[in-house]
Amino acid sequence: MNALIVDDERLARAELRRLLGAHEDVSIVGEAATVDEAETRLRELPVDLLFLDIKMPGATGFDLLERLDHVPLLVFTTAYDEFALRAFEVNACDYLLKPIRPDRLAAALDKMRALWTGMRAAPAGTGTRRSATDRVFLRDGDRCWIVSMADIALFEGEGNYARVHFGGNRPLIRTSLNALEARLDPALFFRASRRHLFNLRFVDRVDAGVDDGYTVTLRGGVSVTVSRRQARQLRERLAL
Amino acid sequence: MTPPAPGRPYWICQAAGWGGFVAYVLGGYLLNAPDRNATDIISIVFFNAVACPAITHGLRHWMYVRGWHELSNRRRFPLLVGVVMASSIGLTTAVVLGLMLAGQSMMSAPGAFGIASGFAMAFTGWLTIYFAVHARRERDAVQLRLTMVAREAQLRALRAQLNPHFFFNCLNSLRHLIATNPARAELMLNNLAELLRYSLSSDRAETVPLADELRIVDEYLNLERVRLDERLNVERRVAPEAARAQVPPMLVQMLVENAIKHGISELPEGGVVRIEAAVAPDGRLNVLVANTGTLTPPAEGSGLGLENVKGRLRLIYGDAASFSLSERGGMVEARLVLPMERP
Repeated sequence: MNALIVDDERLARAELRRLLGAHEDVSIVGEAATVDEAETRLRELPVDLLFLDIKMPGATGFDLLERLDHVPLLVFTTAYDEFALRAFEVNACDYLLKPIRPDRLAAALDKMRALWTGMRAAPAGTGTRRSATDRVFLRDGDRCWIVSMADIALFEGEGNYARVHFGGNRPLIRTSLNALEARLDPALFFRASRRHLFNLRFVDRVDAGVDDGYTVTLRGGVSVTVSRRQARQLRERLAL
Repeated sequence: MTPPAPGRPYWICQAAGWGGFVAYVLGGYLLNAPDRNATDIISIVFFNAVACPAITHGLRHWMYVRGWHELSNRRRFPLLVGVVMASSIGLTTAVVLGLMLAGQSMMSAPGAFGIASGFAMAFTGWLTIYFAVHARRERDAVQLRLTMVAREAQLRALRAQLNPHFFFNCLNSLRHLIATNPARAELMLNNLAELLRYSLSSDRAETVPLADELRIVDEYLNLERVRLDERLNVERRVAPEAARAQVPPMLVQMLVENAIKHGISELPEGGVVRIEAAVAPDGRLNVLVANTGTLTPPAEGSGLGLENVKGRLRLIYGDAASFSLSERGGMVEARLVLPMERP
């Protein structure tokens, strides 16, 4: 696994590098001391595993994640069990408290190896569009999530913002529905109307709606109206 | 529980209360009694002006010994009713027997009942006033204790504790240095131990000499230098008479910590922390902690530190101290003005 270490403290980076030396399958492809540097490295280097400090000069680790199109396997390294971390849904990542214990690092790496194997088995994302296996970082206030695209049921446009429906959560993100549609895999997400962009894999039932449209009920119970203009496209998409 | 010595208000109340009572009874007797005689007068004066004050005074003592002051009103009430009945019956018996011994005829039942009810009313009045005053003083004392506890808690909460984020980052660096540069690790450990000790004992004294505080600031800056390398530059200008002045512990330290946390560590290329202290012509201590950077509107959390500084100053000095934060020529300046003496 190719790892990138992001931490503003030189000694913290050196310490992590030293500890990772014990794990032969992890090769450190680079280091970054700021969020800007990290963003550049992530574009240049093939990074599978990101060790990310949260507090850094000028911007936080979360800011970095928000700028990324694709979030690599993620291990947060932090000095103190901060509020932000407690609010985090940690199933798709892990965190290490400094000073880092070698056994905790080994456990985190085991978890990452398992996730990595699973990800490599799935088809890779195509081009810049996000595929079902891509993971994205979402933040709403103090809460953060790393979500696989396949787990998102619906994007609901609210002006220049979009509400993301997944697993009972409804965070609001600062991206318009049009911008989202351009970046999402059309085989996975369908634009039902000006307000809704839903995941085709979440369709539970389709009923005839008003004005030759459809009413699509998604798993989880949310209903979405498909406009007449889009109805034909949907029929084509769902046809055998 | 041994009773506390009664204060002046107690004696004044005793004298005025029983004085008034004896005047009332004696007046009534002199105005209304058909056949006035010296024995009756002596009896009235003795029982009302001597026996009653003595009994109530003894009662106060006894109630303290038996812990009646701590009882709830509900549990105390029946006991007090018993006391009133026993003492008025006892006193009336003594009056009747006393008069018989003095050669008077046996008092009529209504007469004795009148005397007994007089005593009962007097004792009821005494106990009512006594416990009303007692309850009120108890309430005031509790209020005072609460105020003191609250102020203490406020001060303790405001006392700057070592920032845990900083502390664990230091430990992480230390872990690395132990393996790679043990000599430097030893120095770092010394700094960390001193800072931790000072921080933990800072709530023992309300103020410390500025020189002591600055020594700890140095330990702290040495630690930050390990973390920030050449990004941290420090300039210090402290007048000798200012170094002797008293300051609240961990206050200047907190300002320096803020200068690094919100200033230097946010700048990828680093900057300067300037610490100045002097005694102004008005006799007040002026402390300046400045750092390279811009004054950004407080993000969540950071405004708390400043409120904390202001809160501590208010609790210790009232309005005599001041604190301000401003930006001048690319430097953020925290200014502290403290009186040399605590008010």
